Amino acid sequence: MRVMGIDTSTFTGGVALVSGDEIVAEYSATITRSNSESLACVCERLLAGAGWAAPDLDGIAVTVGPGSFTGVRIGVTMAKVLGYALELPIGPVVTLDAIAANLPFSGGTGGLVCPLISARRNLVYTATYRVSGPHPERVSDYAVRCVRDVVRSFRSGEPGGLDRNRERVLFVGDGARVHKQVILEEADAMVAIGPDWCIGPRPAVVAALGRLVIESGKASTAYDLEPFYLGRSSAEMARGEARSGGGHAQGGL
Amino acid sequence: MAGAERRAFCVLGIETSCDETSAAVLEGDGLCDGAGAAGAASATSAGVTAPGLRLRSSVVASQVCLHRRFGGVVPEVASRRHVEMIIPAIDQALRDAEVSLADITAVAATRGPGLVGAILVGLSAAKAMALARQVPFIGVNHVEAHIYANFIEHPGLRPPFVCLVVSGGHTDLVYLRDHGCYEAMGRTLDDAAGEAFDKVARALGLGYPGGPAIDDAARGGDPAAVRFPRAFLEEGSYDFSFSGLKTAVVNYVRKAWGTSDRSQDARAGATGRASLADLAASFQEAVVDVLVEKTTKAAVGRHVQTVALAGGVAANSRLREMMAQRAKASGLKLVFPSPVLCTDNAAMVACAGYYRLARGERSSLDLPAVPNLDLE
Repeated sequence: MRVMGIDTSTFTGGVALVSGDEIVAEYSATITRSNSESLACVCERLLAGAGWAAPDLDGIAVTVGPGSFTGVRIGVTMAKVLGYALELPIGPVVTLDAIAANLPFSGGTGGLVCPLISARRNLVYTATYRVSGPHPERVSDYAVRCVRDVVRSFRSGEPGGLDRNRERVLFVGDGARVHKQVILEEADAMVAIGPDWCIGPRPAVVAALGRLVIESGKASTAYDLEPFYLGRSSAEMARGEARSGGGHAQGGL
Repeated sequence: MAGAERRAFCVLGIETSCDETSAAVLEGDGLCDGAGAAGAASATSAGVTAPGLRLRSSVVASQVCLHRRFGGVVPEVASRRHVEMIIPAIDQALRDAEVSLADITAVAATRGPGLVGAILVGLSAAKAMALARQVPFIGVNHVEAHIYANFIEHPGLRPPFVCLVVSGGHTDLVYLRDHGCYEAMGRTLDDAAGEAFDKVARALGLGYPGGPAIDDAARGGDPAAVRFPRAFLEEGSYDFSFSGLKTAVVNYVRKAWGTSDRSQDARAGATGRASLADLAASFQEAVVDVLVEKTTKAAVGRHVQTVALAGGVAANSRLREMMAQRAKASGLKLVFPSPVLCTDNAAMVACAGYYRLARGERSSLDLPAVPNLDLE
């Protein structure tokens, strides 16, 4: 199965082509708005480099968020139209799952992985994973929370906190870098911060996870694929913007 | 050969720059140099026509209801809705046109000006479509597209002409010297005309969107009931200003009706003060007076024979009526699109794209969205 993986949901973004388990091509860069707009160009280049044409694809994988609203919309819209025009199944991938999947077999002795994606102010999008095998197993709900609360919730005294004797938590994602100081302040010895090379979702990982979704028969179509904004509903958003004067401010970048 | 179908271009247009998710299919036989037929050689493309230009479909999924309770367009709400509606809009446009994706030979989309998050949905969709179908892509200026709405229904129309583009986001006087060759003669220095309509409609308790609401309310009203200020600015200026007028109306309403209690309307009428219809008509007259005056002056100043209207406010019945009178008195031919092609739509985007594509232009797939894009 030939799958194109697309990610524009966070501060890194890119495209990958996989054929079965093989990564045929992968491009990733720190994203600005202008290079998320050039995503179609990257797709075109990778396809040409691989000697594929768009109709050769068997599926599309895409990160649906949470992350940058505008970024998510660019990726999801591209995936919808590619899926529609090429009549392909689409494998949606939650961005947090994709980041956690960068760290397979990392939970040997009860370790947890906690991706943090920067949202507004001190908020992060997060979930907790046990990654003892090749794929992450999520053990919490997806949530948007204050970063300090997230870190504190792992303290061994807290309800649901870690067992000091056998558990550790690894924070990854751009939120871990942005809020490093808060994490170090609030954390105790059982906390680690992942290195920079595993902070963002990798397009090839997105393609692999999306392929699993498609193969398990849970693919979305161009019509029902939805962004996963997580957090304020659009109505709440609107009231917030209306209060602050509405106008034509760019929301959610 | 009679009956033979030539599809030189079958353009899918996409427009998402504000609060309408729209897709359209436009086809035609390419461009013809009309110079031969006119019997005169022409160094420019001003004689160019697009023979067989046919609008096959135009689908507009309006978000007006979604934004009504906020009294204006909320960008994040608009962007989210565009993502939900983009596939249904494209699919419906293809069905209505009775064409398949394989018939589409190019894709055109608005790249600005507008709300950047909203534009990016349609622009990304168009690029993905071009990538998937391996057809050319062209990015289009939204204001240019409004002007080009006139070419869809007026096959004889050709540059040069002066066009007033007037909507909720724009008030621009544009001299179209030739296809793709523009001179921005004037623009609003503050509110767009449509924005003034929205704000005054709100002050009058007429709801959103304000353009059609005021147009309706003004019927039967006396346009001379209240003499609101007209901002003509300095001599020879083609720029506009509507914020003073808007403030004057709001102040008048506060004074005449007390605070903002619109229920006193009936009493106001009974006591001989301006009724709601009079106020709406008087405000509308002040806007239309300035628009018509400057547009006529611009056309006469550029020695053109034709003036065009475009944009949502070009659907205003009083503007059409007054502009027709002035154009006739000044010996000018007036054209404007049907109301459905005045408000934001993808047919106009497809049309502007069509002319550019037929001239051999193409956009790269990394073309950025530009929220404050100028005509170029």
